Amino acid sequence: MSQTRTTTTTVMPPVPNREDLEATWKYLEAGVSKIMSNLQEGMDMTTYMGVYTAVHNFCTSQKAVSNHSGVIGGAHRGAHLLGEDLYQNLITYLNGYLSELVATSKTHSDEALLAFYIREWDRYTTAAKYINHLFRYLNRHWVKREMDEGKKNIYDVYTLHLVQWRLTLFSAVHDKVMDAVLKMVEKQRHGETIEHSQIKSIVDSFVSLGLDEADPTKSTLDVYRFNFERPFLEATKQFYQAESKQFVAENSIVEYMKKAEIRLDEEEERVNMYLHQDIIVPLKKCCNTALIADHSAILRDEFQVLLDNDRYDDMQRMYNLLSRIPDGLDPLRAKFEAHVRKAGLAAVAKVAVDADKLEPKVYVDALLEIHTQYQGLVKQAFKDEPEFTRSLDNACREFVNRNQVCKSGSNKSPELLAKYTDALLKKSATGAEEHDLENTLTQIMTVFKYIEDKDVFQKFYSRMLARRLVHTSSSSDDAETSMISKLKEACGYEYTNKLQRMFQDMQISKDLNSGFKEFEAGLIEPGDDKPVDASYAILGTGFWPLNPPNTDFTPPAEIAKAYERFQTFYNQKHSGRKLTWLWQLCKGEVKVNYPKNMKTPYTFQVSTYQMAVLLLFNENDKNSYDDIAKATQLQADVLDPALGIFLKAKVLNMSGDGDDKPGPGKMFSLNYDFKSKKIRVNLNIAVKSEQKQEVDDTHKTIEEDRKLLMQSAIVRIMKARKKMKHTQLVSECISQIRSRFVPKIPDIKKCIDILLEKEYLERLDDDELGYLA
Amino acid sequence: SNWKLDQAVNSYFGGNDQAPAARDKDVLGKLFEKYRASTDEKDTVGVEGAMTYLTDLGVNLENAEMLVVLELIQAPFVGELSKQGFVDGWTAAGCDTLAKQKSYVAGQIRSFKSDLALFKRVYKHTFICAKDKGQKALPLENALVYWELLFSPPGKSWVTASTNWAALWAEYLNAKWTKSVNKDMWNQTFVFFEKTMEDESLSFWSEDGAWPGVIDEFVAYAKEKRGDVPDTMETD
Repeated sequence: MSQTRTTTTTVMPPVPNREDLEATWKYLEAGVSKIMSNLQEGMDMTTYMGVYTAVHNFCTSQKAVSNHSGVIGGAHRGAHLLGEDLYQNLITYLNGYLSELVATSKTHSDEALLAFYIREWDRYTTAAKYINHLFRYLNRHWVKREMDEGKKNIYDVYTLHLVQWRLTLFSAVHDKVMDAVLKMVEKQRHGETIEHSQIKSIVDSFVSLGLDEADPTKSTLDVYRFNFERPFLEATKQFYQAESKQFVAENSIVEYMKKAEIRLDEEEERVNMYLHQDIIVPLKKCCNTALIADHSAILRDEFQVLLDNDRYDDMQRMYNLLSRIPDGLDPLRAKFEAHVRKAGLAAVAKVAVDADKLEPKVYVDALLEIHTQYQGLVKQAFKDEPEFTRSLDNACREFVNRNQVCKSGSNKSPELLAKYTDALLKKSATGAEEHDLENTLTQIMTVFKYIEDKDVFQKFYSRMLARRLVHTSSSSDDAETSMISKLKEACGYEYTNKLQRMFQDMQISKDLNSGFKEFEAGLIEPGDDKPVDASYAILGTGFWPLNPPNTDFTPPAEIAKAYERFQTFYNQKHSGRKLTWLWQLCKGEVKVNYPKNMKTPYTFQVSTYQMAVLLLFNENDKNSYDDIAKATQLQADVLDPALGIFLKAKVLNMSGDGDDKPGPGKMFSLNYDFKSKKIRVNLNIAVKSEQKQEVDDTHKTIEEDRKLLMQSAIVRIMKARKKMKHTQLVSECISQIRSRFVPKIPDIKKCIDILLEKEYLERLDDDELGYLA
Repeated sequence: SNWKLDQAVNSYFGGNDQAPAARDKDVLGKLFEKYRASTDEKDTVGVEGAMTYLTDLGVNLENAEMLVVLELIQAPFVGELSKQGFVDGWTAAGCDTLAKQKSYVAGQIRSFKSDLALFKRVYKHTFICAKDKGQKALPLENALVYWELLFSPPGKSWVTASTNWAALWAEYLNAKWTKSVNKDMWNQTFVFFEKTMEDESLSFWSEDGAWPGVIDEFVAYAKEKRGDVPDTMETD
């Protein structure tokens, strides 16, 4: 198309006289024009040198008469100022050239316009580079000095080309160019293939036109941002607003999410393909708003449906989408938390039909199942995001501590958890594999983490551990140690201190027993009765949750000797220590050789109390209730159940008036017809009511311990602070105690009342409390 | 007309010459000794003398008037006067004769109802002198008697538009309170009295506040009795 112009500019005028400025410019203009329009034909060395020399001559001409209206030429400004003429002539030329292009551009539109723009831009900028070279003398001297002097709007020759492009051509066509670009992008969004390198070129051109007015050596993105980015984002917004609105109306939310995901990926890809990196953030924001934020309400409404139906993939999709907008996930977390809580409560309600008979394992499993399920969801769909994990924790803490089973207070959960742990750690017929046991203990800790009343767990755990140790019914020392170290890790040294001491006591007792065996062997004279084969455990008062027996007791003579020997032995080792015999925990075995029709002698496993009763029958086949009570000194509440078991097992027969319960006036006789399928008969059976009593006792000690714990916390705080506001003291107290249990404010206040009364504290003005030493 | 107290204090501290005060003390000491029986301990007037003295002052022994005097002379117990308190109290008030004391007391009793600072002093001292020797707390029935005295004429009444607090308080304690009344409870009851007189809706109260447990429980009791809408704190 530029054929016509090409022919007009190929002929160079003759080389001008260096003093003849008009001729010199004519010559230069022809050279410039040749480069601009006909570069592909090349330029011979002579012309190149000619132009270069002409520029030099023009600038250094001494006698030049300016054809420019008298602005320059003043002798005092020097000859070099003649460059301005040349500069102005060049501008005039470029304006003429570009105006022609503008006129031509009018004949094009859409893709043809883009092709035209890009072609002319390439031609123009390539030429500009050459011309810049040829005008190097101008750049180096006149332009440099003007710029050094701080003149505005003076550019090196290359930049001058860009400035003129922007002023003359760009300003006239950029709107139409952008329309063409946006039409192409829309086509592509509709799935058509486009020549996207064109857009890329347009972007590059727009970016190149950004000149920093303050510092010509730098460029800015202002021109691009204003003329490209802005309309591009606006078009994008409108496109996606319209599209998503229609899509949502016609499709399910899940389908919409898939669509949105695809769209967002496409836009990201678009940036890589042909857009400037600068658009990434605003484009993302624009898409996020149109595709997600504008629809966030219906998305969130759908979340509950997805939760109810365990649609993990779709929840992940929703998470990914909503995580792209500010505060997008908060409502999801709230819904998730409420949902998990509800699920937990429902799971508990399902197993808690009869709360009194609730199996600890069933209960704990129900809690764990919910936790495991939703932890999986958090991991799979929510990328284990900490905030979702926190929501999960909140929900779990709620339903673990406040559910149907815990209605009477929150301490049913720790009790059941401790009981389950006891069942796991106790010897049982169905001995679990070591590995499985370890896993289950880890799961126990998962629930433990959520328990608020950790002190309750501790109480029950230590009681049951004591029982396991005393009755040597622990299934594995390793498992016991592992559990204690887990608790220690979770709650600190203080929490497990006593538990560890209990272990140590058992170990020390083992050594002690072997020492005693030697000691005892040295005492026995030949001809003495063989001593009772006994083992002893020394349990440190204060570490074990055990109380002295609540009944008097005269141990049978048969064992009295043995334990007196032990006492002597122990006093030798540790003089000054007082031993209290916990008879209620002692047990033994007696061999039975009286029943008729017996092939091998039976062995009865009995408590020491029962043993004392049975041994009386070595002397007499019949003993009255009162005789037994007198001989053993046992109180009725202990003696009666012990006798009850003998009667039930038909070891003893009872005669006498009145009901069939042991009591004063009844006679007991040895049953010679005793029969049992087993050789070893366990008669040492705990009575239900005793177990219930123990639980009640435990709860009672918990209440008392709590009061002490709160009071000592208050005193500790006040001792350090001397003076403190009431509310501050209360919250400080809660934060100190919370790791053990969550104290209620009225309870703390009651403790404060007590301390005021005891004059540890005094009330000062303005709701302040003071510490009285 | 408690300006007399100020005047007395001013004259006491204002004059460089301490002689008048010393003379007052001497006169007051003699007055005190007049009421002391030979069986009374040194510097102490026992029950008989105390009753006589109060009667001489023209004070009603059946109501709070007596408590005003007991505070004024810092009596250690009801029915026992100490010389120190007697002399110091009257010296400060500038009353060295029975006649002056009588008119001063009459003035104090007149302003008892309206002068909150005076009422508070008397209220607080009542606990101190009402306790038995060596005791830290007041048996509930005794405390109730003194509250009744203090909150009836010539004392301040503890009644607001909708509620007879004094009666409600007594009713609550009789029904629910099994312990004795310690100093904190006594003094906090006064703070509570002041607050309820300003705001009978109890909006000043909060569970997190510094109130002792007995006040918290009373507030719940009172709200229920009055049929207040239970607030959210109680449902927690």
